[in-house]
Amino acid sequence: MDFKKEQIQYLAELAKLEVSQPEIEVMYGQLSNILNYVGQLNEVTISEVDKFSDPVKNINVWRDDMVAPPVDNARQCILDNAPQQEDGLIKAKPVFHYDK
Amino acid sequence: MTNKLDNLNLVQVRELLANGQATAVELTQHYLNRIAEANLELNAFITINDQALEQARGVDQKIAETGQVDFLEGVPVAIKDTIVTKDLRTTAGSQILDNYLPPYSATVINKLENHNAVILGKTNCDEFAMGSSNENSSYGAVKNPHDISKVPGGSSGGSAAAVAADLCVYALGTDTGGSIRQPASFCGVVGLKPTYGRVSRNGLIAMASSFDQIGPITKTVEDVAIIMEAIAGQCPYDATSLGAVVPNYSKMIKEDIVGMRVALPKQYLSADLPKQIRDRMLVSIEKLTDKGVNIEEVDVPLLERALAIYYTIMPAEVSANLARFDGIRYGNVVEAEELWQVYKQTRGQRFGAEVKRRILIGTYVLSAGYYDAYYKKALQVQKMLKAELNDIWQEYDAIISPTTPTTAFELGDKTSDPLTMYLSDIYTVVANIVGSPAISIPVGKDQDSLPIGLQLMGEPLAEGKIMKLAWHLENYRG
Repeated sequence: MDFKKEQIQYLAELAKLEVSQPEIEVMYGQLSNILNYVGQLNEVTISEVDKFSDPVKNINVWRDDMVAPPVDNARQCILDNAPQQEDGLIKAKPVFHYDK
Repeated sequence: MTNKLDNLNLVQVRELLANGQATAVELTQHYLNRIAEANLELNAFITINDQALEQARGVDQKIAETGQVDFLEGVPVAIKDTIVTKDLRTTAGSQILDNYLPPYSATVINKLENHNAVILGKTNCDEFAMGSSNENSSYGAVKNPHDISKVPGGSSGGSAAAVAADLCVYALGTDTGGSIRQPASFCGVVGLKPTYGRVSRNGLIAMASSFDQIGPITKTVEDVAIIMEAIAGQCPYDATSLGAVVPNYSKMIKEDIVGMRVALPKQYLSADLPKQIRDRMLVSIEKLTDKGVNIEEVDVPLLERALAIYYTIMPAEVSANLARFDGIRYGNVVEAEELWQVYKQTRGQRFGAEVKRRILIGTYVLSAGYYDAYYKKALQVQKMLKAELNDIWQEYDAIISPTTPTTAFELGDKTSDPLTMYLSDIYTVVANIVGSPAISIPVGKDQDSLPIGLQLMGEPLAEGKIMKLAWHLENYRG
């Protein structure tokens, strides 16, 4: 499958990842090689495989949803890790803007 | 100058502590001194725990009061920096978490602390554990203690180098595609990737959640067994952790191996394999045979596809897992006018090249139009490989192989060609894809005195069997 250089900018947009033009120039060859390599799986004939199969055999594990007491200073610790906080809340840029 | 505390394994340290020949404080100070001396050159640690001596004093006091020494008590350990430690900086080797102080500790850390282990510090690793040489760390590459012009392997390169250079008694690493075993092999130490679900992932900063496991890196197989008894088991905070009883591994490893059956896949005898690595594997096979183990060549055709399966599924999971690093709740933010710009610039400027490559590959293989050809296909072949190996487990106790296709390579050798770098994981990724346990042990050195590793992989939950084979190889007397 052909991987095109223009696709990198689109993927970066989907992944919310800034990539510069020089980075794209370097990465294009690298990503093409990797995709070309993993593309070899299309040579494998798929037989008797459940399409939705989960190869990791695990069963659901349930527990009651209970409110546990906070660990020591966890709340403050979580807040302190946030780049911006205000009134005990984590502060972020607005998602929506009002028009004037 | 020799010191009675030099080059001790876990069993030996326990003996000194139990006999009162050393205190936890002495041991901790000894390793902190060694780290201070060696770390400038090796760069194995990112953060030193400034509470370590305090922890050790508490342990000594407890020992003095009770007269009892628990099995990991007072033993200094190093922790890979992808495992969160409450109030102790945890970077995962990334600039984006440069100032991160976790509000909680991983389950494995709580378990070690319940046994009164002393945490020396956090070891260097490839950024978010993505790499096979430790050169992707934002904190600089770790050097191989056997030859500082060589890589220590990755991504748990700091943990492996710290054990090899005797900067700790043992270390914890994490393994998503070989990140415990490959550096253990390059540094000449022992490393175990447990069965998926055997050790809790709670508090492990996720890379590929369906492959990630935490495991020990040690000086001996017996040490691995002892540590596994402490860290394995079901955890209420990890729904994928398994409920199976944790066996008495340290007793199990010394049981007889007569009549055990080991498979050697013919796919692993490639002509490209360097002669010395092949020779060391053949010598190990002779030793096992001598101990009454039956070894047979088998055909597992899909092993040749393992790396392609891995490098499709893993980046897909990476692209999802790393979405949480957005500069809002934690991390080293790059401010901008608009929210989307904050996301993009923080991620764009703080993530390193390999992380970006994997996010982009993962986004690609999951995107509309490519999902079927890449991601779904990889899941199907993964399932088929698992079926081929299930047939093997019907007849064999383990699969033997080299751990790596080469010994430690030069720093800078493969950084510009990611695909070539990926090929160094060719033997290790299989265990992660099928959820199996696998151990790497040192089995000799090449012409440049660089360690050669041997890998034994077993069916899920067969840690005891592969450790047993490994222990008998390690303690072989002709």
